Amino acid sequence: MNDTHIFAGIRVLIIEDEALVSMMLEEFLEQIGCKMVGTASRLDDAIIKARSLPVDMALLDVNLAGEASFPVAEILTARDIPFIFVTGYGALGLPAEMRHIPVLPKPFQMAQLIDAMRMAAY
Amino acid sequence: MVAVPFTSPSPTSRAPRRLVTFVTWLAMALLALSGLLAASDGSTHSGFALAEAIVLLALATALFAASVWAKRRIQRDIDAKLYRLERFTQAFGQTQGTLRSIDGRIAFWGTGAERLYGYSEKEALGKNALDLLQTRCPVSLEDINTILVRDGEWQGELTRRHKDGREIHVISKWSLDRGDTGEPEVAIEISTDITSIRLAERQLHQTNALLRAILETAPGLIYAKDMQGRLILANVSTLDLIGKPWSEVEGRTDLDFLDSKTQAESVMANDRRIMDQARTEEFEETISREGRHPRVWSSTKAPLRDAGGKVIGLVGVSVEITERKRIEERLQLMVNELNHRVKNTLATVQAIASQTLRGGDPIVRQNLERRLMALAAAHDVLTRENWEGANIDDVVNGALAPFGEGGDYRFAVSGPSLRLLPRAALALAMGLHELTTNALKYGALSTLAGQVAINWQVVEGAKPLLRLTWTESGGPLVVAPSRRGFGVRLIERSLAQDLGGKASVIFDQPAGIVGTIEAPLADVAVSAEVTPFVQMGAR
Repeated sequence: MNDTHIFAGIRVLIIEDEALVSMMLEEFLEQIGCKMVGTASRLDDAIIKARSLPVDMALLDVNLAGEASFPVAEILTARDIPFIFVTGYGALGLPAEMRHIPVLPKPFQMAQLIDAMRMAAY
Repeated sequence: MVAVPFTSPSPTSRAPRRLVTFVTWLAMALLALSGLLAASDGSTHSGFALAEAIVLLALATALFAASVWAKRRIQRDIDAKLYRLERFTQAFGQTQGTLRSIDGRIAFWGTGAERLYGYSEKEALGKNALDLLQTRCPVSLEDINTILVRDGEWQGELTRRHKDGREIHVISKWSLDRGDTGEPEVAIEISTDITSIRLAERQLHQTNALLRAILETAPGLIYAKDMQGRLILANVSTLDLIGKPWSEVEGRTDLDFLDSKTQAESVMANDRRIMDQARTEEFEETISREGRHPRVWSSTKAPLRDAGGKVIGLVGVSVEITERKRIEERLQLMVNELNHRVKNTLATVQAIASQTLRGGDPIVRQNLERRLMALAAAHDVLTRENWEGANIDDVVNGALAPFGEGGDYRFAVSGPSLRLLPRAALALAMGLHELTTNALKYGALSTLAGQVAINWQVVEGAKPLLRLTWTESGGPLVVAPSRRGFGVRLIERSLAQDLGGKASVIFDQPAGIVGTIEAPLADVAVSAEVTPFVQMGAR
């Protein structure tokens, strides 16, 4: 975890419908110096924010109150913004064309979050 | 032999002939007598008259002798012919010849007949042929006789009874032999035994009827195709699916009657593989009809062989599993959803704990986090296996994985492969997590040289046991703790309870900590009989 400074100052968008998990993610990200630019817990809100906010990386929950967040993933891909899926489903729950996106399985530890972010960034 | 007591069309026809013979004899005798009387009168012509009478008498005697001789010769002739006929028919095995007189009585009985019907010549001769052999004819006797008299012969199939009671089927040919005057004298019969053919036919018919019944009763599709994929047999269910009568599908291929050419080609490719490799296979096939939902079939297809063993096509049975697939898919969806919720809940619990313990002891927070992770890892193993069980190797390796960094060599894992029930898998994963954590803090893993051997085995007996041992070595001197921590209590209490067995952690071993878990195999492992089903379901 010595190179976590590489994430210092990057702008992160958190899309997660579980408030507590969202809070924990924020806490983890703050610890490594990331800058929170926004959070979204519903699909429509997430789409607007993914389209408009200036973002360096996004953490994307696959299931947003019963709706799949893949439209958000498409927008982020189109904008060339690196992102990771945060999910209780494994990588098997993803559509074939998104299997290459790093997955952070729930529950997770700090180390796993950083690993996933590093994979997305490179 | 005579099957039918042959009734002569005119029983009186011989009487006029006898009458003629009798009148002739009478006339000649009278003539001779008048000659003798004239001679005794002593007239001038008496010498002539006597001589005339003697000549006439001699003539009559000669005529009588000649007729007797001729009759005997004819009889000898007939006998010789019959003998040859019998020899001839004997050469043909079951073929047999018999002769019956005009009143239906058996006049000749060959050895072939004896062999076929079981009656000796002595038993048969003079008996009524029809009665003796309990003959049954395909048409009425009157009809047969009419044909016999009209055409001189009749041919047909008869059912008779052997002396021992068993039924005999013969093909019989009857010929009517007429005397010099053209009157029917004897009927010659030549019969061939076809009992074995008839029995085989009957058996074939029964087998066919049985097959037909199975074919039409079985709920699935049953069909057979030739090497070119053309239908040579299809049951009602198959025809219903195709939606055409047999006359319109016979000799046609899937390309002709399936809506989707792609599916037809796929089915025919499967068929070709079965025939090329001459091997039975089971697989799923999807058939879509226009405007309807696709239906899924589980098909078992086997090569069809001729008597010489050469593959000449295939036979197939297909059972619809559309509904089963739909339920399976829905179940899978629900299991996925449940897994997702469990993991989400664990993440939420983790988040709550994280927030609650904020600013507190980081070790406490880490311990809690790791225990949650161990629980989540065990869930992962079970999720992959649809909660039907987990391989003990996967559970052990999953529990050790977080601690494996830079030191797989520190764990020596060994034991037979076996599948644990979900509850046992979770309990074991948590127990191993605690033992590992303890070893890292105080035991063998707290030093560079320490190692842990994890071994499990099945202890056979009336009630087989699963015994797992955790043996630490190369660590610091073991000191029994003054107070048993949560970890050890979790192992000894919770584990023993969840596994229905007993668990112990021994600290007072100088060499290192030894943990033992013992549980009845039946309570912790998926039983062997169930395993194949589980594996099928998991696929």
